[in-house]
Amino acid sequence: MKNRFKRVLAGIVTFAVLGVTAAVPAFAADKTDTGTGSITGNVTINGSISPLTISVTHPINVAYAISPDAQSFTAPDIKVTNNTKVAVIATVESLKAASGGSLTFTDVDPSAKAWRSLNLSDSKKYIALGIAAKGNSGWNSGYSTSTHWAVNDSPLQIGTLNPNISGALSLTADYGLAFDGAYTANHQLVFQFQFA
Amino acid sequence: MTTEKINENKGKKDDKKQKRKWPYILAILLLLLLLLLLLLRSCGNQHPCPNPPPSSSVPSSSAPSLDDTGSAEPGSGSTPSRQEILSRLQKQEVTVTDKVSAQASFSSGAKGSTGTWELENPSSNGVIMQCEILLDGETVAKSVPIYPGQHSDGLTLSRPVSSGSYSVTAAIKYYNKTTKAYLGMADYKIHLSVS
Repeated sequence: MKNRFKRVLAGIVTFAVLGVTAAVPAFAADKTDTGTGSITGNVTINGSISPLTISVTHPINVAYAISPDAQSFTAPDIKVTNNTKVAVIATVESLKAASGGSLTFTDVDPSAKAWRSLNLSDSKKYIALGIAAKGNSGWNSGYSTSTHWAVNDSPLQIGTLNPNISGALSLTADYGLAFDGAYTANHQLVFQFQFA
Repeated sequence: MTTEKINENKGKKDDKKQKRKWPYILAILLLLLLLLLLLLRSCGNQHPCPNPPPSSSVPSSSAPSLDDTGSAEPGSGSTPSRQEILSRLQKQEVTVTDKVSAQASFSSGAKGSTGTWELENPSSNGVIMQCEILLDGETVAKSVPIYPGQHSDGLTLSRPVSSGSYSVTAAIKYYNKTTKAYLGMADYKIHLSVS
């Protein structure tokens, strides 16, 4: 009877030791520093860092209207919101005339034409479309005040937006007036965003 | 003597006859002239002249009369205000929110190896997203199409990339949810890590 009790006890102890060893594996990596007097123990701390998510809210198409009688160009502001936890830089990578409308304009420099004297054919052919940051709209100081004209190929860094801040851009244009009907025209605007 | 008288009478009769004929000749000539004028006029109407006057300046046979039915609007025509135009344009605008992980990682640079990279298309977006990772202007990986309310966390290398760390462009293209037509694109500068 005593022997049987001893065997059962030994089995329980063995299982308990094995269970503790399996459940706490970190203990196995522990190092015991021994010595006399002052003992130095080195501890390594491992960190893992995940990449941040860049999040920006922006329009993917922009509409404008030309009213030749009123000699006016109307376009809503282009709002860009930084939802990232850190500041981001916004760049206008390209602004180009695109097909898909009833007219496909050719982008030219604003000084290239005498806009108010353009005839019917040239009015339907040429436009000088530009985009620029709107002042006092959320851009950090140092933002670009220059206009990016569609005829230019080089990107224009607009400026930096702090987290949860919106900045605005506005379109500007020079155009002819001789339109003999209602037309539509498209331009493609591509932004680039990156951490500041 | 008698013969002379007879001859004289004959001459007088001939003169009278001649005088009687003249009005007829004149009448015939006038008739012919009238016919000619009528002919010329009808010819002018049917066949264009070498230098026709503008149609608006051609006098019609009768003066135009006003069709005085219906009524026009009073005052000058109304043009939409700047605010109305802006409101119409704003309705056409499509805005999206992108959620892009700042790093794409691959454990191997071999073609076909899979890596991790998160791109989310929030349900508030009304467009389909598809992203390409461009290294030096060339596509090295392309995501699956991501519909609103979906995300992608994996990518496959479409071409071999040497191990290293690169600054690459994640180009997101947007497509119409219904027609699948291309709408626009935006670029993000991210980090590519290949072990």
